[in-house]
Amino acid sequence: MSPDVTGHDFARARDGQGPLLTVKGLCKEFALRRSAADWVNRSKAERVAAVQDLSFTLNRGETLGIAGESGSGKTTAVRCLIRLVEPDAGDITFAGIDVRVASGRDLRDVRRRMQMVFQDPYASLNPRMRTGDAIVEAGRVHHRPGSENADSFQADLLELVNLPKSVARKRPHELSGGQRQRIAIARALAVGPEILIADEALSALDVSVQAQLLNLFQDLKRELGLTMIFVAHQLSIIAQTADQVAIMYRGKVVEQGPVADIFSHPQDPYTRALLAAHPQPDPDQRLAVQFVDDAMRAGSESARTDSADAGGVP
Amino acid sequence: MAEPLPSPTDRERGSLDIRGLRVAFNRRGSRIVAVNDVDLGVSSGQTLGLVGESGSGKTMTLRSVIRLLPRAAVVESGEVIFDGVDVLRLPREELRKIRARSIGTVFQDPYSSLNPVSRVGAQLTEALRLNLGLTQKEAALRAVEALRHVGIPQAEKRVRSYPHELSGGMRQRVMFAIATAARPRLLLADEPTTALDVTTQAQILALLARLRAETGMTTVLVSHDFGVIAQACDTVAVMYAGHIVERAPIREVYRRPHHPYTQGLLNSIPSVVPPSRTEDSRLSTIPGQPPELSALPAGCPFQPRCPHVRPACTEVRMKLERVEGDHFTACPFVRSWDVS
Repeated sequence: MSPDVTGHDFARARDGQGPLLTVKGLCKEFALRRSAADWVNRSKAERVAAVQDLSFTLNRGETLGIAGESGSGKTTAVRCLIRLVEPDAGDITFAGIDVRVASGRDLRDVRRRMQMVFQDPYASLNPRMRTGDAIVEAGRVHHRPGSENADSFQADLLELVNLPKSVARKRPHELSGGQRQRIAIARALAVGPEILIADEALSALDVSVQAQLLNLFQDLKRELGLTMIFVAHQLSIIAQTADQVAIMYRGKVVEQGPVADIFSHPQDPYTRALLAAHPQPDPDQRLAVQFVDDAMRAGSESARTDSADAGGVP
Repeated sequence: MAEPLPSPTDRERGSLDIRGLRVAFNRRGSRIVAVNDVDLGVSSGQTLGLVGESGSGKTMTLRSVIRLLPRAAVVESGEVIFDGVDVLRLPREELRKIRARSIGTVFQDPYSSLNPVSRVGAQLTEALRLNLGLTQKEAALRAVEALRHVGIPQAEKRVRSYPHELSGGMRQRVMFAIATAARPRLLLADEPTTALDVTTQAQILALLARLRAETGMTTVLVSHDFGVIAQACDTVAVMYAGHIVERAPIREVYRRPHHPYTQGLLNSIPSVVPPSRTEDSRLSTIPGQPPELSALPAGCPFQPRCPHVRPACTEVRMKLERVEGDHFTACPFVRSWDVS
């Protein structure tokens, strides 16, 4: 690839001092829908804390993993980073920009430099647009150098994600799930991001395709010096990609630190339960299931139990 | 529960034998073979895992057992022998009885399997009345018992819940309660934990293990996740493009996979152990894409992605051959490379 397609801003970016992204005390609450009884009683809608006091610092070239089960707040957390969701409290500093108050050109800049790849590329790509055009459009919106020449621009980006040039002329439905996700990645890279946020980007894929994309992310990280945030419920994906990890449970980070430490010596009972519940492909490691059962019975404080969950339902 | 358990010594009952099964679709004039000459057996009380990626034919194979195939699908040949009879040739009325009493089924998404406007107790009661001929009162009592049995707390209250009031894991427990309430001898479970969180998945797998141990029912578990299969199964059959490429006891497949696809699949599974800094963190992968069923190559369908491919691969007939003991593979060239 030619360096100016995606590498344009890196030289400037590398000059910056200190962490690339700092998040302090990020909070986001959502109001639940008011029930009929709430209307009658004129009571306020119940609120749920989707993200409570999330803090982390991310240096250039590092990868942060955010792990947790559904409803843990991990997606809301990353959406707050580029203000797809407006946070209620906390500080977000990205490359010297105060993201919370950024507007206009600054906010556009933040969103260009932090790009997201979502779980379902079929939903995030325009079904009527050829994939090559989608890539070029993203580049042109942000006036990327090289994007004037559509052919070479899309060819460079397709090469970056290991797709043949011929794919540029196809529409999303003509591609396999893995190819579509590569297109979504190429489109994100087309605007020259410094941080790539993958929100369950590998969850919907078959195992063999997932492994290919895991490798692709590793290559991109190395070749482009990308900083990454991986959001995943699958701990193995975090284990393979992240340098540091935050384990979220019902909006709170229960444990955070270097991935090697946390995965080998989990301290929080929820982290332990999560790791123990991961189904190992080795049939002689069936202890995991037993462990979770025991953890449930012992009623460990943060180990999520299915029954406790249902118990909360009126 | 009222009915006595089937005696575990009775080897004939509850065993499933699929022979030469071929299921095809007619799509826009072209014929697509989704299940291609599948031979599978699971003896009474055992659990068989069917593992493969999307489009490999595992779900169609499972659905053939209860003839619950999409309209466009045609069973072109083969037999599905359950309890000594060929299910594929049963008259509808007999089939209905088998579905009601002898075979329980759990699908991936409990939300779409349950009626959203009916209380879970009513759905269980209905199944029990129709399938076992119980009275409303007997069935209602039995419904509470069935919910309790699958680990639903406060079952006597929970029978009045609607599906949307329950968590995903609870809904799947309800599905297990419905599927096993009639004490079937065979349980078919198609990706029963795929939509669930990992800790809930572990609980459902623990529930499945307990139900199996208590009832001695034969189980066929379909999953794309080798980890789930390894947790729950005695034997595993690996499917690729409609064919079974390898079949063996689970430990055998994990320790010494013979078919190149199985090897690739196992190598692709990311570990929960982070790679050390010095290690090469790249996973070994299977190159290329899973095949289009409408455009399969001649011979072995895996050959375009196979590291051991040779000219003779286009002639391969995809018949399972014994490697040793209970270990079968469809690759005739396994002895020509070092399996270890």
